[in-house]
Amino acid sequence: VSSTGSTASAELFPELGELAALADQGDWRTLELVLDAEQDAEVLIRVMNVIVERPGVERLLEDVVFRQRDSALANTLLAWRHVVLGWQARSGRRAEHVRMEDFHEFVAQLRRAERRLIDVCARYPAYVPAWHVRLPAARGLQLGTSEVRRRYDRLARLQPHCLESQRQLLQQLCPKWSGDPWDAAFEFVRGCSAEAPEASAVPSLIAEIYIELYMELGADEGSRRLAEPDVLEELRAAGQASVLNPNFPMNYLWASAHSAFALAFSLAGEHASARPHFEALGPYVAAETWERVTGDPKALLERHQALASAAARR
Amino acid sequence: MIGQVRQTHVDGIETVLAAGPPGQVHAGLAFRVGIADESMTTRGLSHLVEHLALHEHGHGHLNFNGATTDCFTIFHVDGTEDEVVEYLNGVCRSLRSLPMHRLEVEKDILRAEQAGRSGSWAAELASWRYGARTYGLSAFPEFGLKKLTPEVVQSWADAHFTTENAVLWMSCDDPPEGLDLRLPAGWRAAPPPPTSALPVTPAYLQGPPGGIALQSVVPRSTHASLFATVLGKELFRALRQHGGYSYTAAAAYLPRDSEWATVTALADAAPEKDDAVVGGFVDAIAKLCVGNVEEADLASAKTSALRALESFDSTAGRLPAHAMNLLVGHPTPTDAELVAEIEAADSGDIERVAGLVWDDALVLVPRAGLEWAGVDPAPQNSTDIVSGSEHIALDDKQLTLIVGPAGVTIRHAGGAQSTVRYTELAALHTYPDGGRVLVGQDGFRVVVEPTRYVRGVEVVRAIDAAVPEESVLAMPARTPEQIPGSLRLMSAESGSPPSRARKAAAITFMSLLGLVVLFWIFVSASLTVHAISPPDDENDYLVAAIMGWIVQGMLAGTFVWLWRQLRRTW
Repeated sequence: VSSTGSTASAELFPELGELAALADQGDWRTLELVLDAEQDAEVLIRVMNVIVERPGVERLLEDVVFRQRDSALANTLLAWRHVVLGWQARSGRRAEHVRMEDFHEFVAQLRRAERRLIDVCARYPAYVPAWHVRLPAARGLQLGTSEVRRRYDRLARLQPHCLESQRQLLQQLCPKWSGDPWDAAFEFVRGCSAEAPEASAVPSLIAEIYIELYMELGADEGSRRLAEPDVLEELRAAGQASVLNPNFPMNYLWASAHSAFALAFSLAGEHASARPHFEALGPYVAAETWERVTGDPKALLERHQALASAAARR
Repeated sequence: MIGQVRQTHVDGIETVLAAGPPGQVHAGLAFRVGIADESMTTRGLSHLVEHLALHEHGHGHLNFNGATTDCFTIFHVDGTEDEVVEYLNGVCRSLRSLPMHRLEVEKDILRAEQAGRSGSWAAELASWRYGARTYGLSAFPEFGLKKLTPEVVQSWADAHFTTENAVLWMSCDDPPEGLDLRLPAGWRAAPPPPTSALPVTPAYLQGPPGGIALQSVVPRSTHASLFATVLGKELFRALRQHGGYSYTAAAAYLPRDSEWATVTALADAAPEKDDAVVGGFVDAIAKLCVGNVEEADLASAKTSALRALESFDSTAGRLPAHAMNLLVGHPTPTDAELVAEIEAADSGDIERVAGLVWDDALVLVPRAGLEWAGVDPAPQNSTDIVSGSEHIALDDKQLTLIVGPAGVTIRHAGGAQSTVRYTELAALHTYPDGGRVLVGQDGFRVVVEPTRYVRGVEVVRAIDAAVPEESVLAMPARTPEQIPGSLRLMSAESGSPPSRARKAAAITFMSLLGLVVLFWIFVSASLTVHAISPPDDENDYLVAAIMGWIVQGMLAGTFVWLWRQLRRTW
């Protein structure tokens, strides 16, 4: 389970595979040229996410920051790698099931990341990716909801409508992390969706929050809740406003956004509404979306895909 | 301009003069003595002298005041030449022979003043940095007042409020006629060297919710002063203007002695915004630490500093600062030097000070701590323990009190421990009920409540015997609710140790109770015998026997409980 968002599908976007290969080969010069040329911070975050998932990439990054002490890009990547390693050590289990030494490793990695990021943000307060990585760092270090919110607000001033970052704040606002009631989380995702530009992936947050609600309530109660007419209505409207909008561009967020809707409708038992999302996705379903609700995403996915196409035939 | 300051002597007192606004004279007499020169047991001495010296001016219309700080005791006045002469002469007359008939009244006034003062976070931080002495003493109440005798107070005045230990300032060209500022001869005392109770910095302390505070000690400099202004602007923008997380967000610079200054920064927190305030505070300082200084902030800080120098009565206005610099031996730069320093300051200078401030920082944070930002907690426990007899608390088996010849340790099985050695004792607080609080010079405390230990009274005797009279501070009686332990009521009434008469009364009572218990055993046993072999068919004896044994159980239980309680107190 990735803490920092879903990994974009390398088959859909071959350039991501090429960048990953550059990281594996240790070709920092080319990597830096490509990444520094990227103007869109949200795209940059997505690409950086691919690099920090590469096993062993920390060795390359440590070497680079030793030589380029002030590089915002290299320092942020290394900090992000620490965050990934930390969350891997912790695993996705609920806090009471995490072994003590794994928890210590988790905290140690996040502190390493955070100290590096404090420095990057102090030097380059407008560097969006660093603020983005400070979100999972703050969540893991339990710095509190108002601090995660402050970091998101800093980021949103620079880069509004950044879905990856909004997903992070949504996680923090969910009761399982914040201990607060659902109101703040719903207010946040509805606000984000309302303010999002046309044909943006942002309204898929609505699907994500209902998936979270389903997990909180459990399968029976969760399915009942998601099948309520007003919930389905909200989900359909969000789908129309985002991934089902004819102008929705094929971008790195495409697969995870469609997958969120497909899963939310499937959990609601509303297979006919899940169908257009499954059809659009074809073989490119974002597996990690499904991993969130089951240990066997493949089986669940195949079952719901079958149900969806059956619903289509009726 | 400082160039126009004239130095002279009045009755042997070093004097600085500079022309001020016409018709009005600002004047002051500052002594190089203050709270930092006192000790826990004499805390309040300089303040008391200040009050006594001002007593005769209590009812006039004159605009005057006195102040006691860490390093200085200051008397100042605004008025006509005649009024100023009368005020200063009066202060010196009183200092030569303090109006001791006022001693107890002034003590009461000081106590009332103190009651109205709440503990500040700055004082809290100071006591952690310096311990229960020197610059940490201001964190503590004026404990010494009660036992200060006229002799002690006058000898403090004679030793510290002397001709050599004073500087006079006046905003006029020449000292007015009629001044009589004769004082005892003495010496110029250097500021007390700071003590340390903080082994490592940066460090943080867990504070209550509501905001964050930072305190650092750095070399005195124009750059450090500019840094504080810039930091204040950065904090205000980040925490108040942008986020609305804080209402107050500010920083300040204050010279401590001839070499060092204290930089403080504070941000309060709106409800449930503590975490954001801590995060924003850390980011604001980090920004300056890497030299990312907003040019507009620095320019505006420089402009304000320059404007302060240029203002109309700037020279006269800075006479007090000049006088205090003279007292601690810190050179006062000329205006030209100051202007040059301010104008030359750049972001690199701010960055250097920021690094010093962060390295020396002691931060009071709400909730989660600051390890994530690379700051470790300040030590919460004494590092060592004394050896001696061990006493386990009756109401908490995890708590052990160790009383030895070298001092006292209290430790909790959870890991907390606090030790005060007699050689490092700042004061022993004694309560009439037998409670004792030992305060170490490092600020650590050991609270001894005799009601919590079987041999509590013995322990208190051992501590009292080991502590010299001058370290003892008798505290006012506590209400029974303030005394922990199961025997607090008895103990609070009788005082500790219990008087002979009370002991005798208790023994008599226990003996009588014992007799009742024995008698009731006889009654219950008789009833039982009858119940087992009833003289007729009636079953009443069985019920009576059962009742008898129940009462017997209660009586015996009461007896044993009282017996144990008494053994704990005696």
